[in-house]
Parts: sequence; C-alpha cells; structure tokens
Amino acid sequence: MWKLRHYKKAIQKIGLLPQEKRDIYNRLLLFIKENPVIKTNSQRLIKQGHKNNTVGVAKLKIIVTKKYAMPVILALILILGGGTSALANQALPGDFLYPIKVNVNEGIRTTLTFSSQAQAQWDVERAQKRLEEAEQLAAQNRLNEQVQTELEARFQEASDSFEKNTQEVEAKNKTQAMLELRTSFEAALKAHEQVLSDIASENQQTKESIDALLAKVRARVDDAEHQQEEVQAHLETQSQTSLQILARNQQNTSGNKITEVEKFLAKLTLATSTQAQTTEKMTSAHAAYDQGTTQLENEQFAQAITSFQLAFRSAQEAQIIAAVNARIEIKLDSFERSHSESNENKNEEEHVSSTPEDIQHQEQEQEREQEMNENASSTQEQHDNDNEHGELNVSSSINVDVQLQNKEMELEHNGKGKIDSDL
Amino acid sequence: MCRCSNKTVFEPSHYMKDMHEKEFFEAYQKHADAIFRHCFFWIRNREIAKDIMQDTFKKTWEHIAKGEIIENIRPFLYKVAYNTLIDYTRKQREYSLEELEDGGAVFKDATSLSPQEWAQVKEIVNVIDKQEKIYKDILSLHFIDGLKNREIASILEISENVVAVRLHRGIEKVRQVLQEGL
Repeated sequence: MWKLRHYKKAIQKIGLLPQEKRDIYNRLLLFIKENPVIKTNSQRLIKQGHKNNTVGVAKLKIIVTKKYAMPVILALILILGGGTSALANQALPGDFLYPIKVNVNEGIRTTLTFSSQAQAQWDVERAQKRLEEAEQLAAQNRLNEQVQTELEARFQEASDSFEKNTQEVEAKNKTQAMLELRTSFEAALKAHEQVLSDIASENQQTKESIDALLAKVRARVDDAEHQQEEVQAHLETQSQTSLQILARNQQNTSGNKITEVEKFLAKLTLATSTQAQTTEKMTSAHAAYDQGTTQLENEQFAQAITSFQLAFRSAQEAQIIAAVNARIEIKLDSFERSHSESNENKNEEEHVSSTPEDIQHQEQEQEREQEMNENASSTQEQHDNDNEHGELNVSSSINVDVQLQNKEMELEHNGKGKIDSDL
Repeated sequence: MCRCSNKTVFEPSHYMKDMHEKEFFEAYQKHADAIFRHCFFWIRNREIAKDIMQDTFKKTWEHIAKGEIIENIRPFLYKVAYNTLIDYTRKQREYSLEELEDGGAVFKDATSLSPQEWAQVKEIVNVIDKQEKIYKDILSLHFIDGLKNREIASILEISENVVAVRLHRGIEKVRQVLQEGL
C-alpha cells in the first residue's frame, strides 16, 4: 500500500480519452487556420529546450535581394493571410462578406466552445449580434423583409440554443451560473427591445420589419420573465446558508457591474435621449442595489438575490443601450458621409449632449461611483492583476520560470488561491 | 532572416507555416495529457480542465502566430496553463455553491483507472494537500505532473539539490501519513 510508485503510476494514467484528444486537436486545427502565422520568421519558433536546436535546413529557399523582400512578403500576406475573415466580422447582412461572418467565423466560435455554460454565454452574444445588425441596418434604411426574416431566424436559433444550454447548466445544479446567464440574457433582450422600439418610432420606413422582429424579442422577454419566476421558486427550495452565499456573490457581481458600467458610460458622449435612458437605468440599478443590501442585512436572502439581479440587469441594459447607440451613430456617421453631406442634425445633437442637467447627472454618478469604488476596491485590484497576467501571457518567453516563481509568490498573498493552488 | 549583408534568405511562408503547425501539433500530442492533468488537479472538474487545456494551446499558438520564439515548449505550456488557471480562479473567486456542497472538490470521472487506483489517487492527493507549501509544490510537480527534478528546479527556480532534498523529505512525510493511516 505504501509503495509510492503505484500511486504515481495511477496518477499518470489520468488523461484525456483518445476521442477527447482528437476533438480538441480538431478545434485547435480550426483555430490555427483562423489565426495563421503573421510574421514569417525563418527560425524555428518552438524549441524543446535542452536539446540544442539549430535552425532547420529549409527544403525550399528563394533568395531575393533585400530590396524585394518586403513587397514579396506583403503580397504573400495578402494572398495567403486570414485578413478576409477578420474583415468579415464587420459585415452586415447583404454585404458580400456576411456569409463568411455568420457561417465561418461564428461557426468556428461555436465549435470552439466547450462547456454548456460557455456555449450559453456565446448564444447570448450571438443573439445580440443579430439584433444589433438589424438595428444598424434599420438606422441606415437597409432593413428589408428578406433580411429581417433571415435575422429573425438566426436570432430564434441562438435563443433556442441558449435555452437548451442554460437548462443543461441548471441540470448540473450550478445555480449561480444559471442565475448569471439568465440575468444577462434578459438584460440584453430588454435593452435591445428599447433600442428597436426607439428606432421604429423614429423611422417609419422600416417600422414594419422592425415591429415583426420586436414581437419576437418581446416574446422572448416574456419567456425570460416567466423563467425568472421559476428561478424564484427554485431559490426558495435552497437552504438558508447557500442562499446567503448566493446573495453575497450576487451583491459582489452587481456592485462590480455598476462600477464597470459607470466607467464605461463616462467615456462615451451620447445623444441626449440615450443619455436620459441610461441615467434612468443606472438610477434604478443603484436603487435596486441599495435595496438588496438592506434585504441582505435583514437576512431576506431570496429577496436580496432578486434585487441584486435587478441591479445587475439594469446596469447591463444601460451599458448595451449606450454601446449600441454609440455604434449606430458611428456607423451612421460614416454611412451618411459616404452617401450625402448632411450631417448637421447629428452634430447638433452631439453638442446638446452636455447641458447643465446632464452635467449634474454626471456629477451625481461620479459621487456614487466613488462610493462604489470604495466598496469594490479590493475587487478592482483583482482586475488590475488580471490585466497584468494578460500582458505577461504574451510577453517574452525567456524568463518563463522567473515569472512562474513570481506568480507563486503572489498567490501566497491570495487567500483562496493558496487553497486551490497546489492540487 | 540570415545575417548576410545584402541578401535575405526567404522561405516561402507556406513552408514555414507548415513547419510551425507541425511542431505545434507535435507539442500537442506530447504534452496535452500532462497539461490536462495539471489543470484537472487544480480545478478538479473535467470539463473545465479540458477548456483550460484547450485555451492554453490556443494562447500558445497566438504567441507563435506573432512570430515569437518559444525557447522551451514544456515549461512554456505549464506557464500559460498556470496563468489561465489563475485567471479562471480569480473569476470564480467567490465561493461557488457547487464546490461547497461537494465538500471542496468536484472530483469525478476517471478515464482508465480502476476504482482501486482511483481511491489511491484520491488518497495521495488528500495527503499532498495537507503538506507544507514548500513540500506541496514539489510533491505535486513530481507526482501529478511527473516532472523530473531538473525541470522542477527550473520551474521553481531553486537548485536541483534543494529539489532532491525537499522531495526526499516530502516523500517521507507522505509515506508516514499513508502508513499511519493504515
């Protein structure tokens, strides 16, 4: 029993199933084709360390003088490069590259996503993309019935897939993840419902198409609200301790979200009408957050969870509304410039966006943000650290081991990390 | 590029591309299981570990795609996996309900292990979990990742001798606990 070799042998046996290994291999292959090597370097890029690897002898060598090297490389990049699919990401329905966007690019993303949780997140994103496309087209007066039907079908598909994946998450008893998914999907739907109906009221030409799409979105919103009731029922069956944990987590998440969105909003210059909408959402987010905090103190955990969810949702709605409007304005701007010279109205609108009233709002928001920052300062630090790691990831590979050591030191300061770290 | 003064050796990009891909997949075939195991013992959830392993290789490829040179692929992969794992645990920083309900470890699903072997794995992992940090690091790199002393030394930035000594003591401690437990 105490022969440690046996233990070691048993541990080493844990691995991937051949099928799993092949699946991931295939996904990586797709990923590689998507992201080809940009800089061609005549050196070997992957080395096996202690073996003395010298530059491999190339079978094919074309010797060109320095003068021509650059144009040749550029031409090759143009011919072979993956630029097409990157360009395609900006395409709208009806554009030449749009089929590449939805079929190739997003298809790859769908295959590359693994757990049902990640899938569901991607579904939310996908559904949002379709709605956003509809919004941009409508703003440019390019939304016709055919495109609308197509977008509608794709939106439906993404939503159905979301429902399926979220149910899988729920079946695995991941209450927290399920709550977050449902909240963010509902927020996305409500935000786009708002944007779509705004566009519909402004633009008579595309009103019919938008109304049809809007009906679908509203149906989903109803579904989502219905689901919320079920979630509520589900919550009531949970134990008091787990509810408390959930409530705390939700408090954290929604607090972070509010801070994040406020920072995001501060960076944007929005039209007055949009600004009013986002301010309203943020006010209700704060109200819900405060309410949740009180409920948490009074140990009404289930209610607190609902309040925090509401806070999260409102903040996210504000974010989406702001982002979508900003994007439509930018697109519209370039679109209009290419079609006619009349931008005057829009420019006027932008100037109006900083009336005394709005400044007051901003000030209020800043005050709140400061409060929030104090609450969430520790979380903020974490975020900063995350960024650091992101940078380290791509930084030089030479001092890999040094960095690893540093990570370990950092980890020791991090309470939970320590528990999880080494096994 | 060759260092010749006014001539540049230039391989057609598709040839170099193929070579990078080939080497990348060689590294995958060779290290995927080990990286997966590393993630699995950290996260203790098979699906997430697979995701993180996949991300590790994706990030590594992104690195290669930029034309950056990886000096030593194995520690590099461990390093990327390590970052990814940290990012993941940070995001999940709050206590997850599932974890609490399962007593801290969702530790299921063995592929080719007999129940007896699986019991052994759990046992030794529990024992390693309880050791002091300096031993724990080395023990887990030794038992779980199956790294050689030299590799452990380079990852932890200590001398090979120190690794050998600590490993020896660590193993003694583990052995003691296991024997007492009998």
